[in-house]
Amino acid sequence: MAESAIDDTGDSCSLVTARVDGACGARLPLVVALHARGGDAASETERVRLRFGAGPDIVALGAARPCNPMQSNLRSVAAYAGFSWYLGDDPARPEAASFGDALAQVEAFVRGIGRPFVLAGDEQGAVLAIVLSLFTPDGLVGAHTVRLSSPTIDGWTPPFARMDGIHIVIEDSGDTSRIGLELERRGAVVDVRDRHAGLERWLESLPADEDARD
Amino acid sequence: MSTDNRDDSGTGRAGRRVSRREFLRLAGVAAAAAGATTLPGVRDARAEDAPKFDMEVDVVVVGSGAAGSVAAIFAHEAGAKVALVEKALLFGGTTSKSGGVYWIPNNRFLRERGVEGPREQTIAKMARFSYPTRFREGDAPFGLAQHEYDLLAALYDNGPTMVDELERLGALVSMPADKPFGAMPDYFDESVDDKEPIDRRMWSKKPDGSFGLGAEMVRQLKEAIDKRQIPVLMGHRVVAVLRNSHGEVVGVEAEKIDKSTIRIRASRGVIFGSGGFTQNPDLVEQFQPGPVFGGCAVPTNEGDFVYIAAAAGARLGNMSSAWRAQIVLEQALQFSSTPDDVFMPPGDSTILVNRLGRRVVNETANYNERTRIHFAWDPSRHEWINMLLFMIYDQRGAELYGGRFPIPAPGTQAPYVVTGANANELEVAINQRLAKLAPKIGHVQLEENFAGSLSTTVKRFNEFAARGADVDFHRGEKLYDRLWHSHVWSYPNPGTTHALGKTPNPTMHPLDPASRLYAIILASGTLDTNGGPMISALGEVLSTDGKPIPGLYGAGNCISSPTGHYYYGGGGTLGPAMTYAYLAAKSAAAAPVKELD
Repeated sequence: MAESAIDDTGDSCSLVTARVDGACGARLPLVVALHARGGDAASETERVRLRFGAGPDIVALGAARPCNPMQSNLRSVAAYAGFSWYLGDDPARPEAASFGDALAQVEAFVRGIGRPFVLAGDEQGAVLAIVLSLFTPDGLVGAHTVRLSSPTIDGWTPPFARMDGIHIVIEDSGDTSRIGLELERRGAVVDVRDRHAGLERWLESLPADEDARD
Repeated sequence: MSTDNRDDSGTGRAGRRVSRREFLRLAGVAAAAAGATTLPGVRDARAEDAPKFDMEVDVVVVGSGAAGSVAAIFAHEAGAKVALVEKALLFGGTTSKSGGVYWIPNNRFLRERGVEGPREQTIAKMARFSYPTRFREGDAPFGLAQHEYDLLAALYDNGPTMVDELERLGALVSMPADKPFGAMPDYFDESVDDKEPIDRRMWSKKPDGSFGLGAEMVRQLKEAIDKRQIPVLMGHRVVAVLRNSHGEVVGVEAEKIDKSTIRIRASRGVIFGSGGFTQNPDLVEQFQPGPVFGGCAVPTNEGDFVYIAAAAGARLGNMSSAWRAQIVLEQALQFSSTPDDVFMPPGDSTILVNRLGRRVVNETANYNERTRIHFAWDPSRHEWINMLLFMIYDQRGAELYGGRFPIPAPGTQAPYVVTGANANELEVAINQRLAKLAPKIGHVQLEENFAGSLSTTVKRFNEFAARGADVDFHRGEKLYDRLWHSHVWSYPNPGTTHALGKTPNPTMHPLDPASRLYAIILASGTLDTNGGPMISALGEVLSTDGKPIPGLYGAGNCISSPTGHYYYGGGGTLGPAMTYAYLAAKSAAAAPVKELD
């Protein structure tokens, strides 16, 4: 077998992106949005804008896997519209290969940001956001998740790295006590909420580009 | 989720990089596992040091996609005690991420409408396209070897029964796949006279009456397997078949992800439905006719059955073939299994050119046929001259057709899109991108004065568009070209300022060289390969002497495709896979018990 043929880490990102500039620019962290299964980049910017207000710059990434591989996605029937990040019916039980691919792609993207950012994920996107948070990529100052499930990948042991100073907001989710404890054990500040409120203020409390704030 | 308590990053803050290899290993990809150097093969079932069997059944099925699942259900229904073994941790194989369409000639929906052609006429058509150099008009077997004809006849004769039986068993409910776009043509060249297409595609029907894709098909089949209490062993890679002293296959040895092994006795037979070898670079390099950069097959499709069958003395066939599809090069380089393929380049002014700036193919030809153009060898330049093709479109195309893969949707950008304000800028940008990709694809650059050649190509294409006739590649001449183009892949976005206009050929509109130009680099890929051991019309794997290897059966992409290199229509992969799985299951379940000695 050609073991060497496996590209271990993604060194560049081929994901579709949608960008919306905010009123505050670099004075706030960039919001990197990861949509739910069935979503897409363009519509996700609108959803995130409603949550975070007009202040932050938003960039939404689009998953590459069409929910309907038979059709061009924009014309797919509603049940199969949009894109998914990884295989598997249960967002809490990602299929490992497709999940690893997506995670590596998102990681490759955030590596090139060059300014403080938060991950904002919904459902499948929330699982990606929280798992990538465990890898503490440079520049990550927080994560906001909606409909998060505690992810399980059989046999996987995430790396342990301190998450001091990283703020995690878990919103509108079921039992996330396991992942919540895991994050707190690493030093992250975890806030579990039933519904979104005060996210603009939360974002303002996070570190941003120092030059921009001056 | 358990965690590693050590902070081994050395910084106390910055974590490790994501490792795709780690996730691939967890997914069951053998090449990603440390020490995975032993090739699958054959073992003596009675070796002195051989451990006892961990499980004893009549029939072992390897693989959980359409072929494996269908085989397991029918072997069970035939009275066999069955176990299903799957290498990955996710049930369903490549079927689970497919469109889930199955091509079934003479299916009951066609019969009810009275539109299917006669048996011999349909088989002759299949023979003509599968074996174009040997096909002869006249009577069966139409110039084919008898066993080749028998395989095609078996597909025609048994496909309809197979889907009807699945429905009767409550295992899979089918419906015609002519919704929501109406009847669509097969990939046969039968549409030149503009007859109404015979749409032989079927797909699964969801409980609410709507159509299901591959995931729904897998869901129904898995439910049927569970109802029958067929044991399913996930995360078990079959690394060997076990043979007795007569050379009969009597079981399998499977390896778990933790490298421990189990042995399963299969007293009547072992049926492989384990997928092709798209994800095995060595086999691809050895057998495919040119550069293949990736494919949609799940990452565990590493061709294990090729090694096993060869070691068992099987006759291999069709190894240079695949269900082909163009893929976006930069996606292929970043994903272990390409998330999407380019079914048809969207847009009426989109063209594909090679690095010389020349069109090389009918852009609206079906993906399996179109992709083969990547394997053109230029003896003067000593290179695969079409290894990469550049999908060129203009600003109008970007706005009218954005959102049809791979053109990014309005309001979005894709890093794999290269752009320039004119042809000269585009040439520079493409060369820069190619230079960046050189560590992975080798040194490739556009021919000098690509921009000038492209302008000439565009001028000629625009003349064709104005006339409505593509003299070079016959784009849009076939019903397939026009219907798949306008009904599915190139319907325009509303709300742009661009008028569609009325061109004589709806698949062609002049490309505007004065507008901003875009390029996406396409490469050859597969849905999966379709070569491997040859089978009989009973699903038996054939040895090099043409006789069945007792106890060994196969179906799906792991075998030598009985339909050869040709893709008959949507579902041309799954329909035959399910049919030959049905035949293999019936044969294996009825086979005599084989002793271990």
